[in-house]
Amino acid sequence: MAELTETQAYTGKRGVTGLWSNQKFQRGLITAVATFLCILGVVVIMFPVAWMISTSLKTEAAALQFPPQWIPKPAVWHNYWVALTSNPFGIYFKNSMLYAITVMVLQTLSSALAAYGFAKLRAPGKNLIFLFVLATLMLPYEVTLIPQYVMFAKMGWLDSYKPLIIPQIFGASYSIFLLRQFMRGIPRDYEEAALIDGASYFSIWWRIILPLSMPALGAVAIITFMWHYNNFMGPLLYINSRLLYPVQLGLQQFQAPHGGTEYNLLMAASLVTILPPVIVFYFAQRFFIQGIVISGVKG
Amino acid sequence: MNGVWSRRMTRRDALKAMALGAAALAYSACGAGGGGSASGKIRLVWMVRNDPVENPWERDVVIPQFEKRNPNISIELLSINQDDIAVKRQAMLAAKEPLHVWSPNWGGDGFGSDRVRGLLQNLSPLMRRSHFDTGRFIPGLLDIYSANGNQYGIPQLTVGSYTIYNKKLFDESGVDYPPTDWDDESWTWEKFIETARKLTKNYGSVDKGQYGATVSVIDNDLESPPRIWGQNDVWPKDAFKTGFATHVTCTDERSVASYQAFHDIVFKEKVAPSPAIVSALANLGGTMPSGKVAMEIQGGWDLWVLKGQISDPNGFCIGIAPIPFGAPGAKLRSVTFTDPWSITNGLSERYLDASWKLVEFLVSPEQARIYMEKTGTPPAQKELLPDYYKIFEKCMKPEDMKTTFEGAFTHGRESSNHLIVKWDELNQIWSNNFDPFFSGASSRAADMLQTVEFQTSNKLQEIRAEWKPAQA
Amino acid sequence: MAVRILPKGRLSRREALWFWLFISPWVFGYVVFTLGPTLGALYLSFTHYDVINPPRWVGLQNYGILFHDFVFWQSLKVSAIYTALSVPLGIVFSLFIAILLNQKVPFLGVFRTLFFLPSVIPFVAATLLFIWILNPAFGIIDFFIRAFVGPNGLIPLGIDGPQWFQDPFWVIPAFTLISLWGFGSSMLIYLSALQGVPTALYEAATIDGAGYWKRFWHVTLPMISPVLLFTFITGIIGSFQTFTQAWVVNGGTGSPAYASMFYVLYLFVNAFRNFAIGTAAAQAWILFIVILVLTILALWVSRRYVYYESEEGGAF
Repeated sequence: MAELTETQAYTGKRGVTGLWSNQKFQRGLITAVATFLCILGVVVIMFPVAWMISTSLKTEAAALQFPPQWIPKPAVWHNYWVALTSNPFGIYFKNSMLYAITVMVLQTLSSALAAYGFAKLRAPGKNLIFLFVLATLMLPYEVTLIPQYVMFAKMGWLDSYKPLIIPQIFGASYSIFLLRQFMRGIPRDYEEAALIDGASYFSIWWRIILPLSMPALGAVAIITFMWHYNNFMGPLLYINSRLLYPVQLGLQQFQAPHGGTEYNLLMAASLVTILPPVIVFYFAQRFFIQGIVISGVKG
Repeated sequence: MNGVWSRRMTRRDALKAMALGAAALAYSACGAGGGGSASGKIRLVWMVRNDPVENPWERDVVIPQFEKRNPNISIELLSINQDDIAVKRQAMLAAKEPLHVWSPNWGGDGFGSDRVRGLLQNLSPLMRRSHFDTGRFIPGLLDIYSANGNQYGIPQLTVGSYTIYNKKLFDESGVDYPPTDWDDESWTWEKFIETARKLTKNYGSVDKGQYGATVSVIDNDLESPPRIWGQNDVWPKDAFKTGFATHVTCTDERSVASYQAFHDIVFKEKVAPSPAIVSALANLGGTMPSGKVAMEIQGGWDLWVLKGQISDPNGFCIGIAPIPFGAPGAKLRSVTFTDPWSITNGLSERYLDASWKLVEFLVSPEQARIYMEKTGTPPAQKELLPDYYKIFEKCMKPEDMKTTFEGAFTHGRESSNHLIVKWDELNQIWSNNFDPFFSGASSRAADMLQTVEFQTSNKLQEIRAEWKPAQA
Repeated sequence: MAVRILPKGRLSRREALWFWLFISPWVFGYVVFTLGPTLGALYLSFTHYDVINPPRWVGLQNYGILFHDFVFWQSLKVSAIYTALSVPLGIVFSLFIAILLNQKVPFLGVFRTLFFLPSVIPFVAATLLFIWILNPAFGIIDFFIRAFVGPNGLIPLGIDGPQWFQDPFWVIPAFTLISLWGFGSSMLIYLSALQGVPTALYEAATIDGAGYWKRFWHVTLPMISPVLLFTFITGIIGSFQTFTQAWVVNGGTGSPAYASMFYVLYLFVNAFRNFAIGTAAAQAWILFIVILVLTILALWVSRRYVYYESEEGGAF
């Protein structure tokens, strides 16, 4: 608590007068500067996206033209139709969603369980086990790829989502670590009170810890979703049938050797596939990030 | 396509799974080969590369027609990015997952490595048994994929390297087209540069620049520039047959001259775009497709990549010409690229027979024709060639096309990429030396090649020591 | 700090039991799905294994090969420099944006979504976009450099933009730029951490007359320090494991002059191109040790700087 007591001991220089020390002015200025920077940032971010859009609207010949044009003439909206009907993207999308959402829900929950254990409960050897959790992140997955594939082949799990989903639902080190860091910020007092009332640790986790961890759970859930939605190597190895493809394997269908890749179609399809997660994020972030102001820690 | 997997044991209890998980590796070492059940339908796994042009042929033509003709065989198509095939195939092989028909040159490390690893089935007995007609292939092609008298692959497509040119740019500048005959000795390197100079405009300007020519080490094959200067002994004589070598020779006068010329064309002659511009064009889809380069010495895959340009009203006509003589008497100037079908070694007889049926079907004159027409890739079979030339009729007279196209086979050799064992490790050395050399204005070929020769020879000896015994 | 009023002994044994119950799903998943392949990878690092033929025991030979392989040392160097560059920059950059998006900016939801957008773009597509953006001839960055200080620019200093992926010096900064593009997840983490800072603390500090900076240094930073530690450690782990971007850009060659031969790229090439699975496994375990040491070091140092509300969490 050293840092905080310092803060509380801090006494401001109230002698300074004028506009700069005016709280209202300060707040207004910060908002104005922040808004400006936000707009600037969006402009920068939008450059690559604009490029994607521009490429997606070009004919194949125009996409190869040099120097490249920013505004394609004519704009070939038909590309979107071609890109999305040349492959069963509806099915790919359904597959991706089922896969990513299942993992998101179950992994976030199981990670929250373990995170609570590591953050709040005392047990001999806990530090060592936690180091073990971290250690699983440290070995590059490329090296367990073949042994793992062999294992799932022996189990008869190939060409299904089992090897992509089932190992994931018991918790992920990354999420456990992140949630643990958050949960350690929750004051102990709540649990003490509940314990005295005879509540079990499980109900403390469910009734107190989870609601207080909402913003963190939201972040973990979104990150988990994105990771699996964008996962490429896993499906590449484990999925064979075309009708089981997730979106990321579907996008690969536009690639070709010797510069034959159809960039215009690739970009059109990519843009469409990033839309759903973006829309979901737009609504989810209100719930997760802004929602906690109500449920948030009241100190 | 879903049903075929249902034969697998899909449900095991968790305990068994757990035990298996820990013991999986031990299994992998001595796992059961072959794959598939003893009775019922045969399920063949056919691995191809992702390609929006090729895939419809495989999916919509080959599979339905083949399955109709062979009702007891079903085909599962695995279509994977060429760059990612290596990972998938290694994993499948480690797990002894069924994989039957594929091309060693699509992804992975190429034919040479796969043959030496014992991965490829000897097809000769099958060919004898079914009286396979070898006479219909372009002479010499089958030989590329044979070793010690055994055939390990059947060619599906082949193409040489050429001076590919943009006819529109030639017409605009009123420059004569290059010759068509590979033995026309007037087509010298000097003539090539001179032609390029007439076609170069606004050199160095990012948006208005037009370039007379561009050259690069074709497919990064170390030997390709020296060949143009008549140096055919970069590799020891038997290297392409055995897949191994103890050294390369590239510090001789002709090799140095060739690399220096490839460098000078940018920095001294200033008729070729700088590496930055080349990568700029390549990032968009290719140097020739951009329409900003008049001539390019390159593998002939532009023939099918650029096929669309011919019919595009804003496009341009392409032509192919021989690669110029760097030095008089340099005969073998072309690098050829031939992709074969192969069958995994060690299959059970039923699966081997079925796989051979598929390969025979794929290279049957009928399918080879459909493949050629659908994809625009050049066929490996003689009798299809006249029809292939007709595709380019609008731009080149078929007889001229014939002279140049076929001349590449009599005046060239297969790429080392397909034949030298562990070529990728050598490629890594070459890339890392070529890139700084070609982008440095003052770099000297002699210095670069010295390093390359030393490093490559060392690596070759390492590879030989590691892999040669395994061949027995 | 809450005073412990509950009796020890039976209760602490019960607590330990609950601890094991809580982490049991993870333990189960680890034992069933990860332990086997991990041990397998360890075993392979002592073998010669080409996938076709059974692994052959060679002892420490793979480790010896690496020790004498200059590309191996180069790859370690490349990844270390990249980590040293991209991790701190990434933290500062995403924290800055998170703070921006924590202000009372109009259309906040829209801005947050737009800033999150880059992380949604698939990795391969994003890398392709950056190859275009950083293109020396028509890329937007070099275009601006040329326009301002190029030979015909506003201030004609004759400075040309970097050659990025073609230049051994600029290739790592180029990859760092790509890594910054993926700031979305850390931004999200900081954003939720910032939301968790009790407003009462700010109010108290404001009453005490603390300005914006003081509040940031003495309230915000300490309160989100556990999460900063998280992004620092996972950032190190992640950047040492960089692979996909490099694979898309140079196809595994590490060109030019091995300047972009990332550690895991070389590992991947060894495993899947050179059939040297044993050597690749040895590389993985060496990296494991390197990261483990760095992590323990970070955790140990962090004990002085990271503030935790409850002390039961453990030693770090």
